[in-house]
Amino acid sequence: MSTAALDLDAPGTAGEATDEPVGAPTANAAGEGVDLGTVDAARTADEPLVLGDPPYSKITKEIAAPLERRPGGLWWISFLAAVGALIIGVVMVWRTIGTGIGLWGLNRTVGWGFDITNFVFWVGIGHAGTLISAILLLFRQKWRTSIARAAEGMTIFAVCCAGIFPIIHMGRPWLGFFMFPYPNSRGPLWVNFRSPLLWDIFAISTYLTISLLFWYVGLIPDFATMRDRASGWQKKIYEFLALGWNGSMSTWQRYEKACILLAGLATPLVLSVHTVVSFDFATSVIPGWHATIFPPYFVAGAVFSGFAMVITLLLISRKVLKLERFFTLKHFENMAKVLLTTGSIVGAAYATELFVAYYGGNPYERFTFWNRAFGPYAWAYWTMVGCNVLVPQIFWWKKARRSVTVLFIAAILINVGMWFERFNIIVTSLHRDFLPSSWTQYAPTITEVGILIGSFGLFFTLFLLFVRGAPVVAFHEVKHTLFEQREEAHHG
Amino acid sequence: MDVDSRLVTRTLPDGAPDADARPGDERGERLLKLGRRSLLQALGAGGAVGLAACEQVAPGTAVPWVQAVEGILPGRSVRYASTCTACSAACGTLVTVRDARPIKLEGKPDHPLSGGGLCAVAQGDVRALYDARRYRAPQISGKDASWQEVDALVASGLASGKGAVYVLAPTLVSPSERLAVQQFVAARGGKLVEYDAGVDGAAAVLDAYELLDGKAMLPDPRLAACDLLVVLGADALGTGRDPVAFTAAYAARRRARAERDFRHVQVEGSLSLTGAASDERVLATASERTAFALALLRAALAGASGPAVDLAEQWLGRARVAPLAVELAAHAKSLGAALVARRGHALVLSGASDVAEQLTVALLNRLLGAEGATLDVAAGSRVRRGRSRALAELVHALRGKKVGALFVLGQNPVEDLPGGEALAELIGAVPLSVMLGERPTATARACKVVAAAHHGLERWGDAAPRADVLTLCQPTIVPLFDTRDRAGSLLAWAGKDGDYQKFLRAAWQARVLAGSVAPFELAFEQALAEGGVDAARAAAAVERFDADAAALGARDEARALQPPAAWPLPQKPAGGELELELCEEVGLRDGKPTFNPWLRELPDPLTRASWVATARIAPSRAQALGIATGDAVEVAVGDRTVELVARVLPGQHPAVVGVPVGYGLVDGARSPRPDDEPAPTRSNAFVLAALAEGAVQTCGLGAELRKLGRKALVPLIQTELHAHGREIIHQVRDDHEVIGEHEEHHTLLRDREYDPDWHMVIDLDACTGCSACVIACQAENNVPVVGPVEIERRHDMFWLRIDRYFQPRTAAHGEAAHPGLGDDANPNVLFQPMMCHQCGNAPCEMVCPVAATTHSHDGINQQVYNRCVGTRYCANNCPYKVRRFNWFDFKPTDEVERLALNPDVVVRDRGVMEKCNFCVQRIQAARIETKRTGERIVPETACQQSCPARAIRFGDAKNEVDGIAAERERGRAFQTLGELGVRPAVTYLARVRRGAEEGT
Repeated sequence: MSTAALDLDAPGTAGEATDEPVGAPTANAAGEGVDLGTVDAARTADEPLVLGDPPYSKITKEIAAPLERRPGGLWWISFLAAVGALIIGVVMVWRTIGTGIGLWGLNRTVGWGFDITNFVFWVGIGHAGTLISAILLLFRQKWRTSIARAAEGMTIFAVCCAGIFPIIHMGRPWLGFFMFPYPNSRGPLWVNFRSPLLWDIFAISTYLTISLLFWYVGLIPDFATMRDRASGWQKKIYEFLALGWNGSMSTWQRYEKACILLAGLATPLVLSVHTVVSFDFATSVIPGWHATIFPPYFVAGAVFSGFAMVITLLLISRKVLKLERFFTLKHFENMAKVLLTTGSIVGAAYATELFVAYYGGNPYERFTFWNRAFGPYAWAYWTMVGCNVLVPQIFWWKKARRSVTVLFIAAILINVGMWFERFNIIVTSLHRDFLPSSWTQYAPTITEVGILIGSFGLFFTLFLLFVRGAPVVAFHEVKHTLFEQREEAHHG
Repeated sequence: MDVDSRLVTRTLPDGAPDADARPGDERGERLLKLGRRSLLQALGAGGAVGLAACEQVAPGTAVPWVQAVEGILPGRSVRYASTCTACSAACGTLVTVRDARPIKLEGKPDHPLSGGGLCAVAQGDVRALYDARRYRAPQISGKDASWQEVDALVASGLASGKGAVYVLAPTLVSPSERLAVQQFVAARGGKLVEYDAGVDGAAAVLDAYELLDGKAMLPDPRLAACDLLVVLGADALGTGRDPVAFTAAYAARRRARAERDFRHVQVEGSLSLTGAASDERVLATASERTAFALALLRAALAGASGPAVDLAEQWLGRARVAPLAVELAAHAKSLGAALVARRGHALVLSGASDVAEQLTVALLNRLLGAEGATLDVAAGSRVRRGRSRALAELVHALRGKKVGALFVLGQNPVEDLPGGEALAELIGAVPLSVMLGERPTATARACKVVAAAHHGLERWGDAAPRADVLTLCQPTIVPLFDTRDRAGSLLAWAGKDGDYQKFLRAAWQARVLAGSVAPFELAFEQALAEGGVDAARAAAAVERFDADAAALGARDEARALQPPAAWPLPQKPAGGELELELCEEVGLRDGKPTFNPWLRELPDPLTRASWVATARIAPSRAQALGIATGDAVEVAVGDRTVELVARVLPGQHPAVVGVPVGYGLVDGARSPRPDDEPAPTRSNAFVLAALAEGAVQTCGLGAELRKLGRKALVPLIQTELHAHGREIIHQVRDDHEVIGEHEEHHTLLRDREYDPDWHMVIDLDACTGCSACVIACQAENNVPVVGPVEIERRHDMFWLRIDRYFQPRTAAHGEAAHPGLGDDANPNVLFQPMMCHQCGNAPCEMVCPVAATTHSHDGINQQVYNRCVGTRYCANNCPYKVRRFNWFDFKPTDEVERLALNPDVVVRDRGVMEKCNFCVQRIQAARIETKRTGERIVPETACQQSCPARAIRFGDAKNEVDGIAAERERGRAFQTLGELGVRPAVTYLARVRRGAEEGT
């Protein structure tokens, strides 16, 4: 296997260029053309995953370009808008903590509203990144290489956004550390291990840790590349971040091993996080929450919303950062297929819920679902069904899967729909539960809307900083893909 | 038995310090400047001498206890027997005093009338004592003044001798106070005018008996002997003249149904608590009710004998009214027959303000042999003495500018009499107008002098609500402010010793304890400890008091017996599109407690609205008028209008709009949250009533209802009317019916066992929805008030609420009049007190991440406030929705108002979850006491203690003595949502709906 040519201008200096840069497993897999994917695997023979067959040096240049030039007007506008939104959120959180949760539209019957809706929404978004980088890595889906970095970044930022809500939704967030099981001097005071909210803490913090590690480990060779290209203070930072990467054969080997190991660790987490989040609801007694279908339903929904968000972000990045070469229509088509699949799973889950509510004969549950579909929040329910079940059906058509406009609109709608799914589950189950005497309505206040805007502000602020600070596409992975693509073309 | 229920006899010092000798005007301010500790020290130190004295304690006379007083320990509550002064019903109370301040009123279990219960208003009286807006000093022309100045001004005003002297008072149920007032009146050549602001029709009853027998009388119902009760438009259970005693008797009678059947038929236009409790409810407007009463009277003539027959025949010949609709006539006929069939065991009550209807009912009861059997005419009730004639005379004198001096004993005629605004001007024109009241009202503002008066808990007193009941009322706190006893002030102005305590003791020495073997001091102390004297002594004493008052000229001018030809004819049916019926609500009654935020926030049990006055209209009428709940509406009688919030209420007569009085008074309670918009003030429904010859007409007024075209603030704590077919509350046909198999609860987990296992059993058949428990809970557990806006946002904080559901009357349960108007035309009303069910397998406990809610070994679901971080997960997962979250900082901040807090219960912070814990502080106190004394003491929860109907039982399900386990095994026992497997520790006993009688 000749890989010497592969790495002419890859990480490291020219002198180290002859080192073996690519882990054997991936190369082997590529050679054998194994196709284990659940979706139509991206066979390089069908359609190139890197357009235009550029030289490796050009790839480095193009990917590093956004980091090396001064930010453009579009970036500044987006950044200021994002920071503005973030400031709104900070002000509203400040007001909430200073005055009380009473500023929100919650009441004695509906104890969770926008807060936990946003939490579950962002956790869901945070699913796609690790799914792409870990599961697709294990399943050797080569199309993942160019989008994985951005998706992982998105995951981490989304989990950050999600993590804010369980803290600020507390009546006394300054005592939030009570949630952690640490040795303390308050007597034998421990946390309640029976509470799904506690499981959430473990699940999400574990997920965040692994995702962050995975992301960072993946970034190390690329930071090294940036280190070699940068000068001045930027070089110093990249030098620090690259952790002394030298591009040697053994470094690459360990790197590949670490990646596979982390992928293995992250894979169950992808499933566990949203399973645990769904336990918040599934283990309760409230009709509409108390359902065994929740874990798979939530995971499918999370993948669904995560991919929708990846599509949204990549479509924008592709345009703004001029990365059309790497984020090809082929990628989007594959992701659209994921949307179609998971969207249909979600649709099946909705139908199952309705059927079970009817067939189960529990009057409270039956009413809850009737109320969802025809009660005061019917508009939210039908928004959800429309966006999550009907909209993805358009991806049965290849034209739609490859249309940037259709993809963009559909992805946005799916995100809206998935937000409403959580809203429906939380609010419409609570607002009319067992005793009609307690039934109430819930409407968010300006404070809650502000906090939702703020969470988007935080997300985009982080993402915009990310595209300025780290390569949005993994140099070495794309080059590897390109190499295989060439090989394939050559042999084919 | 409760821990502290043994009564403590107070050590009384000889003679109270002289009020005038002290510069008392700084006192209130000084009290406020003290810190909590020093305040308590001062109060505690003053307790030895000062508590007993009704007058203030000068700093010099407050000495610390050198020897501890027996039974008084810092940090430990003591209970004093006393009498409630919140209304004239004068229920017996035990005042819980902690560190020299009363913090809770409990019903006195051995009181002959109230029997241990107390109403919501009485429970709210503690809050009234510590109300920040009370007068802190006397005032002259709106400016603070000293008592010397006030005394001088009053003396010179009285000395001028111009015009007549009037004392305007509510019914003075205290014989000693009445005597003191009479002495003042006699000394100054004046006249005492009593009037009652409520809408219970008592004034008309007094007038009716005067016409009938020549002697005004208020007969007292004896429900124990009653088998058939017919109530025409009166709310005796909820807001009558003595709701606690009536509810107690009513619940006892219902309980005894197994031995002897009892049937209660309510004929009314506006849904009341009494109507909600009835077995059968007939819809009729006020004028229809008069005709209905006449029809019953006609029916009762059959087989009757005696002089009443003649009177009745004459009366029936003269009192002609529009004929009844066919269905109502049929009802009247069958009901009349049923009444006749139960002669001697039947009773008819009416709440009409129309004398003609009360005359008819009085005759009817006489014909039915009720008097002496189901109606006590010998003792009679003395809680309402307001006479229309006297009031008319005063109004006439005011109009004619013939009044030289007017002394108002806390009454508020400007706001609670129709045409009050004109009265304000007239009072302002009186040369000397003095308000002897506790707090600002529109009337107090119209008066020149405000002689700031003690609150009832700061005052000596006695009460004779019936001729054979005489109880004492003792002060339980040093007066907070520079106030004086109102009767004492009058005595002083009569040129007598103004020390009312001395007066009262002298009065008792002469009239009550005169014949006692023991020396007076001892006998008085015993009476004080017991809260009063026995029936025989009371009857003799009341007679002596009456005789002495009569000697002072307070005799009711005897009127010649009037023949039916001279009786006033029934009021004409109202014109106008709708008929207005004024009603009272359990919290605000006649409007006197309108300043009290606890009672303002208390949701009406029927409308479930708090803070605002509602116009209650039938669903069918609302549909026709295009009005929905929450619309701002205007109710007009002639050119008098009020602004209200529409409330569509099932069970209203379609032609009747019901409007509660007591709202919209100028000095009503303010929301504790400053940003809240003030409640509309133009909703004082008293302005809609008609005042003619001193008689206030409160029902059957022609009214119009207009939409104002906007939405109003609707602080409803429950919007749903129905249970949506859910089996939340069970009903049975009779006491023996078994609801069904008690389902076994299966679980894979090991069920925890608790010992003791505290359980509560609530008898929904006894519960009338009176809401006394709600306020008792609020007082006991420091439940905050949140204000109308927060209530509207469903941020209510009640630990105990009373859910209300309307349920269509099925054919089997007797469909009353007005068919075809839908299920909501005349539905059954179901009440369900709802508090934390202390689930043995609690969903809330499982989900709390920080273990802030856990289960105790004795089955209590505990909430650990300082551990709670406020995720609200527990509240979400509570199937009963009884958990309450501190959305904002709801703690009271005013220093005086904070005195009402119960030191045994933590005041919760913002961001913390809270809920009912079966009064865990009482359980713990009982446990400690049991350990200490070795004698088992069963705790009593605050709600249980207050319940006039004794509907709540509490005890250890593992202990057979408590009887809780047996109650839970009864056929009509059920657990709401028990099927969820949460093992609730609250069991309900199903409502017994006997339904309409066959063939009626």
